[in-house]
Amino acid sequence: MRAAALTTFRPSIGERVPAWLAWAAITASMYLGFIYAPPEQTMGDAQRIMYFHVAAAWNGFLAFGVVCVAAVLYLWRGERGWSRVVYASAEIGVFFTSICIIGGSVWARAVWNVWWTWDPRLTTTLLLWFIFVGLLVVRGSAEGDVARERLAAVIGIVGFFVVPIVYMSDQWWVGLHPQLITMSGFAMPGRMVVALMSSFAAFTVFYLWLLGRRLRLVALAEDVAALRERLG
Amino acid sequence: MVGWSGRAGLIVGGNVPVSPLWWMFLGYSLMWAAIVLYVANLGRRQAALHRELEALAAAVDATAAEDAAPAAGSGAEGRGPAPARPAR
Repeated sequence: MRAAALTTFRPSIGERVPAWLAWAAITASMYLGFIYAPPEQTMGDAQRIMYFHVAAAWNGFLAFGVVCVAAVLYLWRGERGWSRVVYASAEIGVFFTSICIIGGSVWARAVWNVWWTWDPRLTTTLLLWFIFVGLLVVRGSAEGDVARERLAAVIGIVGFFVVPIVYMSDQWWVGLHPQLITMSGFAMPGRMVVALMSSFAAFTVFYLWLLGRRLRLVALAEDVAALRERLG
Repeated sequence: MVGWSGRAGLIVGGNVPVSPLWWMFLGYSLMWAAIVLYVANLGRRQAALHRELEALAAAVDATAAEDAAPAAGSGAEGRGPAPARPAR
């Protein structure tokens, strides 16, 4: 690799377009959530936290689903590219789950008068978060160690099995968490559904942009590690 | 104003003295702070790695040039000095 061949980092058009698309989609979803959707009659405006909270939860599930698929492909084919996807998507999944927990905590304080309670949905979500934080710790310390990368992949597959448990927890066990999205549909008026769907779409675009960006970062870190090793 | 048919409304009831707008702003402020911090952190990490990569690549080039210099001086590589003519 030649130093002259390296250019100063500047995002290309290919990076900027998805970024603007993601920010525009989030802005549009916020308009729908704040203006278009009506306030809930009991909770008032505090209920609007749901539009980011639920969309973040959905994207956490999506990210962990991608981790699971990439982990299976990595263990099956052994291609390092899939291990990078495991690492990148797991980090973004933890990020979205953190947003979900933060927003949910403020909503809980407004509505239940507590920041946190050991409700089945909350508890299983926290468990999911810890599993994938564990994955990040293992994969982050791998530094080319294939055994650790494989262990991280196994954690990703096992961790994904917690996702349906999180989703079904408030139906299997008695809890406080509202059941707004069930197998039979949405338990809310149409305008709220539109706002929520737009948040889902916006966060999904945001996830895809973050995934691309995070994957480039993992590849860059591996290039740096390879050069360090070459120099001794 | 419309109501959810979920369970939250039953738990809260109608007379809980909350200021919903305040909680909405707090919730969105914290969630946005997390988003901005994460995206900024990605950018910072990427810029730092680029800087390190450039420095390491320059060091690799310098090492390669050092390795090549003695070889060029000895004539082991390239054209080197012309061979002596055999005596008649």
